[in-house]
Amino acid sequence: MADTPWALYMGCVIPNRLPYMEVAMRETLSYFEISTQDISGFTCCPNPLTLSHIDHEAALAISARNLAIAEEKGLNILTPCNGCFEALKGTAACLQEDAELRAKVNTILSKTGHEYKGTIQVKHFIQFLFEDIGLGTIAESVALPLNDLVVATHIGCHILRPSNLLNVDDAQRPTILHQLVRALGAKTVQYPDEMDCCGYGTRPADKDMALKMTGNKLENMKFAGAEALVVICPACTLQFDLMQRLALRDTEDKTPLPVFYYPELLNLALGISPDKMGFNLHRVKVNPVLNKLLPDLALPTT
Amino acid sequence: MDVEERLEEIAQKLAKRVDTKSCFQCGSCVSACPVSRITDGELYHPRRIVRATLEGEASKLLEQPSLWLCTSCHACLEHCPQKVPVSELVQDLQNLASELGVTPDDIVSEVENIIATGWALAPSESANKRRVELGLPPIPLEEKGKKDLHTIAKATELLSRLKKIKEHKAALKAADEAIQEGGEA
Amino acid sequence: MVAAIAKAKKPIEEKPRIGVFVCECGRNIAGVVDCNALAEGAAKLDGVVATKVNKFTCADPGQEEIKRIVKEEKLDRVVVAACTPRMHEPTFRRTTEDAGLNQFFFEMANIRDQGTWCHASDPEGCQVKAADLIASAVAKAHHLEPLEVLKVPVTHTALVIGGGVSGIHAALDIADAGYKVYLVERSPTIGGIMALLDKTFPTLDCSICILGPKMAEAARHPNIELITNAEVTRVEGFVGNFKVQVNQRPRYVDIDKCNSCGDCQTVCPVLVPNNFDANLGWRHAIYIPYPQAVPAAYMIDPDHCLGLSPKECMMCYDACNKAGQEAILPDDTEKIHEFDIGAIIVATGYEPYDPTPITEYGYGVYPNVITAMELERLINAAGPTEGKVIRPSDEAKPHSFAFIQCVGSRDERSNIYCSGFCCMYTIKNALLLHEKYPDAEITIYYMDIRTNFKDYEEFYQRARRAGIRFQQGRPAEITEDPKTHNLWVRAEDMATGKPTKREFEMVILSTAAVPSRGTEDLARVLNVPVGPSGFYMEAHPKLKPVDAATEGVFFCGSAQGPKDIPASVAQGSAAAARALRIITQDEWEIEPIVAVVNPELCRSATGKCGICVSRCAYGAITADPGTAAYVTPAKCHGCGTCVAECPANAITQMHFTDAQIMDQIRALLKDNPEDKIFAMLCNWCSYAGADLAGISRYNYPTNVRGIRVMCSGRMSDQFILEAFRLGAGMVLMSGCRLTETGSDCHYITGNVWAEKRANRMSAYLERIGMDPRRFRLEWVSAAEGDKWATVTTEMAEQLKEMGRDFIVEENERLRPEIEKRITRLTKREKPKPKPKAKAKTKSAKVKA
Repeated sequence: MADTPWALYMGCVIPNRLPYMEVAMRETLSYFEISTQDISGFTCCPNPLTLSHIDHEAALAISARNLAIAEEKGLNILTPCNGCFEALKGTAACLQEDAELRAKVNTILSKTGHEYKGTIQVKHFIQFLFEDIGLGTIAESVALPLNDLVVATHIGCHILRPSNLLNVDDAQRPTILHQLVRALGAKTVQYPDEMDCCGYGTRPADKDMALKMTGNKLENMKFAGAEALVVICPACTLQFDLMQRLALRDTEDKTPLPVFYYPELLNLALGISPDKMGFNLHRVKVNPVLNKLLPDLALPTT
Repeated sequence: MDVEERLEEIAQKLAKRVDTKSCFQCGSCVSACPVSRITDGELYHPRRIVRATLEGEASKLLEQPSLWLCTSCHACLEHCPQKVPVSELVQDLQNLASELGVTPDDIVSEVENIIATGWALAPSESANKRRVELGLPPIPLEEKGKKDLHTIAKATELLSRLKKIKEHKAALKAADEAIQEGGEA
Repeated sequence: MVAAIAKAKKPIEEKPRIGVFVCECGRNIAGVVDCNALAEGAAKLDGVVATKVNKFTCADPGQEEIKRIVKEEKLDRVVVAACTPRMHEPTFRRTTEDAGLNQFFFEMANIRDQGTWCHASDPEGCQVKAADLIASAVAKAHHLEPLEVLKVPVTHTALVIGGGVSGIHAALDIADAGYKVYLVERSPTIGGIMALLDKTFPTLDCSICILGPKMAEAARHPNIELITNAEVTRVEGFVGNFKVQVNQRPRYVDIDKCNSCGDCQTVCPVLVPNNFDANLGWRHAIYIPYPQAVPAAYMIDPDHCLGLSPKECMMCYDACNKAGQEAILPDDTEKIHEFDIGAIIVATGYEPYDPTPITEYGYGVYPNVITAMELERLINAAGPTEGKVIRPSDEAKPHSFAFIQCVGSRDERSNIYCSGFCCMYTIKNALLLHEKYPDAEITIYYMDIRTNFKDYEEFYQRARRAGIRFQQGRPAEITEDPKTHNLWVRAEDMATGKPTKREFEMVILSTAAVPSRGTEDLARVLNVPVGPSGFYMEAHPKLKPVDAATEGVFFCGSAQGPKDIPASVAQGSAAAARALRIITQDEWEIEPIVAVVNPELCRSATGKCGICVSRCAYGAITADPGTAAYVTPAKCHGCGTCVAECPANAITQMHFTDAQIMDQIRALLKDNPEDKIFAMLCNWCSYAGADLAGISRYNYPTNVRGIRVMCSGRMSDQFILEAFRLGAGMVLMSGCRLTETGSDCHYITGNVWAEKRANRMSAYLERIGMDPRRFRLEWVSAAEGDKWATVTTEMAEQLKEMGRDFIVEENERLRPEIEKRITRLTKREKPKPKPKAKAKTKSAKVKA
């Protein structure tokens, strides 16, 4: 299905709470002249951290319905969110392998008038940038190299695991995000416990524990010398950015660490003006980093 | 057969899954689990969960709120040398626990939202206004989607479990209030 | 050989004179059935001229009786109704031979292990069954032929492939016994992995010190011809008569003239990583693998030498000539050797697993994470650091070491087996490090500690008493401090249940043992199977641990599965003994239960077929298009799969012919077939399993009427359909287990073809409208007596459920269709040759 066009699946969190991530993604798509479609009919993926915990079968059926909606229109799915990616790609992979399970899910789906035949592709936007656009094109397109900015990357959990279903990168030692960041002229650091979860999934059971997990990661990143953190998932963004102050509450070093969604940095490197991006919507001020990259901006840092 | 017996039966079936039986208790899952590490192995311990399930004692785990500390990162499953799907097993147990009504409130309210509106976060006016300012299209309201989700919830255990959860929590609340009143009197 | 079999055929017109001997076996048989009645019934059977009841037929008096009656009644066939043929067929065959008859004129009816021992609760039913089984044996007896055991000449030499510790010992044992051995080794030196180790467990003696003298002995033994830098590329023939081709790569150095002075390498300008030093050290393009190499000669690595053709550098050549040795041969070429070999021993060993794919441990990324083999070379005084264990990142002395066990072993994501010796080699390495660095902290992270054999548990205790820490809990991940390149190992301490994180200056991964590179290729050359984990598969895991399924080929050492040095040496001697069994003799006997192709019916003779070739797991059949297929008797193991698969019915199996088996079926189903379950059992597994059911006295219903064939591969469609044509209630096909992880089939793949056939048969029977319960394929292993009882009981119950009337009605309805099909299947007609018109006209024209 190489030439099948992409339907954008934005999920719930980005459009509602982190619209600047959507802006960044659309800017990137427009820059590389990738045409995508916004279609109606989608619902929640559903969130693999909540609905599937109550009823796994219903979750499969709801995911399959979203897949069927795209399939009926002859489209593949492109999504910027790790959670949506796991729900949709995970379901697609399961149903592709297991004909019996597919039949079972379709029996439920038939009550809604949909059927998933198992033919579409699902990609995470970062995966798309790496596989379809490619490091070479990205590096060539860089107009404003990122000035050796020292970056910690947090690729997150649900784009990688379970690896037998998602098949994006080596799940123990992933490199695509490191490579994508370095292609922009930035440096990436190795920090302790890089593969640990941000903690978002623990929130419903214990918010403080979740924040502690986030805080530990931030500490490790700063220990390794990071000036910024790059993430690719809205849930991780909520933990690391929106709740950074709370997360750092019990740590010694309370220096804020600016958090970027990869396409935002990519867009800056491509030379797209920061005015188009919505940086003011970040909770942790990114001005120190922007000033480093674009000294002429001289943004206020307090 | 009452709820307890049915749960016991399902828990026994879980123990018979071939993939779970391969567990040779090596502890890789605990080593990988960020929640286990942050709680020093006290509150949440995936290896012991697998062991308890295999011993047919999963029903004892179902009432424990710590079952929900799992952050669903799947590190356990990924590191297991016997390919035991640990995080999926935990999710199966969470599904069963939901039958008993023991589901964290935040999860319940989000799921109810999904069925009611089609989205985990219902599109709000302020969110849409901000989108328009940024030059983005407003979030679509999906009437057919909502209906379909309700149909699916009804065709599976989802709706019935949500009902059980509500009943269970109401009963707990009533019991709490009764104790309060008794204390005050 | 084939002629000998064919010539011995007896003219069919002469009626056989069959004697039936019913054994009471004390009370074992007589206690349940009426033996006299059985004898009387047998006397009425066609061809039977004498019967006798004996108390213990296998005992001397019983055997004498048989011999006497054979003489008196001029019998020419003997049938004994007694225990299982797996017990006494060899005994009675000898009796038959002693009585003056060909030993293959003997047949047995199993009325004890598959009769009275399991049907004690239904003596009446057992009586009927026993009578049927006797009738079946008599029916087969009509068609028996006087087969001669095949004798082939034997070449008195052996070939040992692989010169590690196991291969060296095998070669020395055979050579010491006075026989010639070719020892072929792929690398430039013998010694294998053992020569690279520092010390060995559990004695901590120096590895090369104990191996070196053996290597030298092998090189100078007058009966051993050592061929290094060489590989076996072609093997033809069969046991006692192999023709082997060995390709020897050029060494470019004359072994006899080289005295290892080393002047050549001093001037060689090329440096490459030395794989004998686990790539931690350097060597030159002209090099000797290590000082104790055997042959003690240098060699040139043509891939890295600056040029031999055309000659480029030649510095070594000049240096060697200056020194007076003149040992370098720039024009050296590949040599092809051909040998006649009587027996082959495969001792190709193992190689260590490369843990790069296990990315969570950071091998290849973190400099201070090394493998056990790398540690061996570091700690070895002859190694790249002269015995100093230093950190690759800064060459500093480490103060703390962690060992991680089971890297690449016991892991569904890489190798599921346990590599067996890693616990021991890690404890050894830990003790050596402790000796060298007494203040260092050493922790071993393990899942289980396996120190099974002699003195091994004591070794483990010694390590604990020396203060080496053992922590149970498999680490999920190793991470690195980017500044110090120290490593953090995270693991649950299962003793306390708590997650731990500990810092170490060096981590050693105890990597798995995997089959040597090239194992699969050599397996194909030798036509031997490898098992699911890639190591060579032995003929029987308990009773034939060093035999290949192919006669005349043996395995020893880690080639058959990872093992330590004592076991490797023991297996080397074991393989030598097995090989000597063959090569010390002038002739070797081969059982004549082989397949024979009738060239007149074979389709390959007039066209192209080759189905039999693809079914044979032993490569015993050749069938070039235009030539009839031919089965080499010495290579045929007698499974009968080709017989059942041949679409032209052109192949026969001696002693298990279609005529014999069909008549057995007819005899078994003569009366009341609707009540019977016709069963076909493979000799090695199912028949043994059914016997075990009897031995264990599991009771099951008497409906089953079984015949024995060597392999489920032999169980042809025709037998199944004939049984149904005759009205059998049910048909059961039973063979050795076939599962996703492997096959227990004694003939390697017979059950694979049996399963395919059974599936097609099921589909066909469903299509014509037969109740699916009536035909069944079951895998019953020799250990599963209870399964045999359970399956037959279940089938009998289903049969009862269906009811006689139902069966009778279904039989009536389906018989015409089945008869049509079976007529088609059993047709034996000469294939029509392809027309060759054009050629004739041409020559005719020329003549005119």
